[in-house]
Amino acid sequence: MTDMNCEDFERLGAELALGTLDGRERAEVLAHVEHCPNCRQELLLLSDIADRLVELTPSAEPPVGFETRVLAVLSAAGPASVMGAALPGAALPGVAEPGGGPGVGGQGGAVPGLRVVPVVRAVERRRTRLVVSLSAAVLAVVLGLGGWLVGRQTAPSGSPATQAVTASLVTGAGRVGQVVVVPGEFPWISMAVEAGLGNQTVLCQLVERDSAAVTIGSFKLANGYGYWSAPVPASASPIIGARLVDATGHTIATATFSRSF
Amino acid sequence: VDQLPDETLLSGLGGGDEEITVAFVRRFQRKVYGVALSVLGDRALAEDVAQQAFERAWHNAHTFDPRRGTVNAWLTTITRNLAIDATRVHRPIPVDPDELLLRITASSEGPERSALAGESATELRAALYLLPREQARAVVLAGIVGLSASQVADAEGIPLGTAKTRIRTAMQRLRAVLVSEQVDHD
Repeated sequence: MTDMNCEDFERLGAELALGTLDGRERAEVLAHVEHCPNCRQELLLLSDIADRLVELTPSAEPPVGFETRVLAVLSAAGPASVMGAALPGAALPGVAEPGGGPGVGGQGGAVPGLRVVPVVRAVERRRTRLVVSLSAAVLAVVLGLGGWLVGRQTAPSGSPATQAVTASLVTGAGRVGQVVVVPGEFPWISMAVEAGLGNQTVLCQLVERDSAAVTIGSFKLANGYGYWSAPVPASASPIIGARLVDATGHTIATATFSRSF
Repeated sequence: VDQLPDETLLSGLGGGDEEITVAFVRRFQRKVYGVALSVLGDRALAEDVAQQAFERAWHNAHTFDPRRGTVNAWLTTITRNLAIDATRVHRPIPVDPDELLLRITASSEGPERSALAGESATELRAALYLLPREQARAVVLAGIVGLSASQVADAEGIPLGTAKTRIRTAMQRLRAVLVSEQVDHD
């Protein structure tokens, strides 16, 4: 096994958190994380983002009769407390392993009447299984911090100079979008317009403290929607906000940052 | 029963309470089916997986720990993992990430669920579509559809290194936004 370091974690941590690393790399990164508090904290944060990402998946109306079929299956299967004791996950109190195990068809708990999808054993790389893979000591730390994967935790405070700032993009009629500025060695800005500005091409300008405006790009809005991202050019004066300007030169929306850059 | 908290419904589900089981399924069926459909892109498969997810939740209700997350997150994870398993057998071609992105960014949960999700979901949704499109596609394929970087590279027709960079950069940008959100709320 290759000894990994913090640079390796920086390279692979996102994939680890997303649960998409293969077994060997996953084991090697985890071996490093186990002994590196900084990377462990970073992994918590990335895992939290990964879980929130999955939660964004939209709801959808199931087919007619779905509810009835599910209830019939559950009703036919008997008390869960009895069945559950023999199933994967039940042997890991406090270290829940939701999903990802063998499919229903491969379990003793197969239910009469259920249309079974043959399911293969998942590659052992799900982020929900990170918990099981970590040593007891690491597990105690991550659980002690308030949760793991499906939990929430407070982000490290870090230096304000390196933290992103979000600001609402507003018109006289209210909020129409959002601006995000991420400082750092290679600062960048993103802007999203969600509604209210119709179909047009708009200029994006940064507003400096002395009220000067610097045009850094343009993007098209379609049915009021559009988004755009670009590096922030070096500026002699601190940047305090951003604005959108239409083709006639009129400012149509503004954003004011909570701190300057 | 419909007013009971999610955790109470889940406890009742595990205990075999019929009325609570009905309420639990009604409350979460749209979410469970939606997650399965997002990963699989196939209605029939999604229905099978959603059904399995409820069964898995019912079997494992006693393992849920409210200190570690919400019932919604727990159930979402169950469903996603089952759906990813199913894709390996039934759907080698991943869903169109642009279509999935569109569904995510245009998503409108019911008022109750939106209130529970709070601002963090809105912030993340905004951050996701603030990403350059190629990064958003990569992180959705990896994070929601469950593709490895190598599979993302194949699906997108790009070198493996590029796929890895897109996934990593996207996650760093989402991280930056959410750290900022946390600081703002503090």
